[in-house]
Amino acid sequence: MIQWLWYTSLRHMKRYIGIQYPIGLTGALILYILCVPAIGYTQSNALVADLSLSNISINTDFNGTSVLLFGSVSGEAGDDIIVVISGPNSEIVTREKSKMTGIWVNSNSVKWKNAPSYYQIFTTRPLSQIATKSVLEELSVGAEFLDLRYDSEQALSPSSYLTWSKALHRNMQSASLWKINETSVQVMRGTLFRTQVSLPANITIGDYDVRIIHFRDGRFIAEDKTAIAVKKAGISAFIYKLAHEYSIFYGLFAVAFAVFAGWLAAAIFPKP
Amino acid sequence: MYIYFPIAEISLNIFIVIGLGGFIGFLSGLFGVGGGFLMTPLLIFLGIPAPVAVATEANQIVASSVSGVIAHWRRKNVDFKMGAVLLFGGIVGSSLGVLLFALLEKIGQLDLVIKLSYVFFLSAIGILMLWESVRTYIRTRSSEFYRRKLHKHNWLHGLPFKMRFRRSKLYISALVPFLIAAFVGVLSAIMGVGGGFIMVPAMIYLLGMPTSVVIGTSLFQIIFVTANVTLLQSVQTQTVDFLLAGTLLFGAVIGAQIGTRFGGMLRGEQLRGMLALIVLLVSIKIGYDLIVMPSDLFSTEILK
Repeated sequence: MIQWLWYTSLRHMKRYIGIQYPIGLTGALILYILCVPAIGYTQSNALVADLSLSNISINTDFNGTSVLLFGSVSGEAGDDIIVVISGPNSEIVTREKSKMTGIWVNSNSVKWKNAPSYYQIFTTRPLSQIATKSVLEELSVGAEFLDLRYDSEQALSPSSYLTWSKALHRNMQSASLWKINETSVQVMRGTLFRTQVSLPANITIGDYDVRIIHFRDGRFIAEDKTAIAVKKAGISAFIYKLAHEYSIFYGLFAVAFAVFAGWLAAAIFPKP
Repeated sequence: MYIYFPIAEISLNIFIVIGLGGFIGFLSGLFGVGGGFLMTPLLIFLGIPAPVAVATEANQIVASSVSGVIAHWRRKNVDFKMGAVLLFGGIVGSSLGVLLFALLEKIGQLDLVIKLSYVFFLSAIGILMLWESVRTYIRTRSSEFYRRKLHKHNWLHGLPFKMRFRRSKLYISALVPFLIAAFVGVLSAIMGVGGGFIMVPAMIYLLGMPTSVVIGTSLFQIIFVTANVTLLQSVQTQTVDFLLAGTLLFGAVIGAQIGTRFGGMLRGEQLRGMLALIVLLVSIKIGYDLIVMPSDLFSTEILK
């Protein structure tokens, strides 16, 4: 029994430390003794966070998902945690409608070059109570501090830039893609924190940067980073890849399938 | 149970999608129409991007036209020579339509053109059908009989490239069916329809074809036109969602069987009157959305 325990713990150590197996028991023990205090020391001042799921696969049964973000912080009671998740930068276009001969048509548009397709903030308390605007701006926490580049027929005046970027904010917020989730981070005993991150069904494929920031009395203390990778998988990925990389083959297959299905329907249900 | 459609990039309840397919299939079995002109707007109402709805519907119509044409083929109700001329025109028209589609998408006016085409054609067809069915209803009431000529002769018969179409008992210029089919082909590509609702009246009233061969011949050419649209859209815009087309098809096949059985119980002009009302309702809904002031003048879309 004891031998088995040693054996399994060795296997785990091999995976974590990357040492060759087999290794002498004493060697492993010495390494273990050396490592434990070292890990303990680095953690004592730091902020460590992880996700319950860091690879999200979009298969045909995908309908949005929820990821648990958790971690520990060597904090005091009353400390704050802000989590900022920023999705892949996409080309996003904002269009303005105007009335022409009685109907509403898209007239002007602005193409955003580097706007995140997803931008959500999770906090322990309302943002304004955690830190001042200038502190948040310095740390670029908040969609209003994004440095948006655009591509428009004409350069926008400062006031019209404001109108367009406000429209972008409003539209992304109503699509629940940009959002501030205040008081959604729970801190337990000043050290353990957790929050539930929901990713809607219409999320963009790509890498999502996750920043976890520790605040105390309105001041920045520490920051940790992690990431979520969102990919299409299974049949869904296969169809998408086929459609984009082998589009002629995909088109021929779609037609052939339809002809076959139509023939099958006629064969199963003969017309009276 | 939700299913994620990889090209539409939207997650929808599978029973709603099959149910929609079944409902449109039921109507198409009941009224003897393809149903594309109802399916595409309803897919857009469900939140599927308009380009995906249009291209995917073309794929689905291939299947429903194949199953429809088999029955007409068995009864020898297909004029293959006329069908060949029509499909030649249809391929030219639909290829132009796909090019126009990509151009409109690029300048951001595709949605508007799709919606305007729907409002215009649906209300025109709806009003004509309603008028016709009301007239027939009144006429059958007063039991008045009159004999119609095979077809009227007009200036269309003076055009060059005359061809003989034996099954249709016609000797007319091939240019007329070619041009009609090309025009319908353009609409087919832009609106995501087979175009039977325009083709069938055009064949009866403009070409003077006998009613018995009209539907079979129209279905025959629709297969090729929609297959062409499916292929070109797959290559050019990658907006054909094969999974969505398959799911809709599943519902449509079953719905069409039920619809066909119900269709036998109702009278022709009653059916056409009901269909006309449905068509008008859809066109009013789309038209209203274009006229009423949007709650937010700005809209944002994530491009790929």
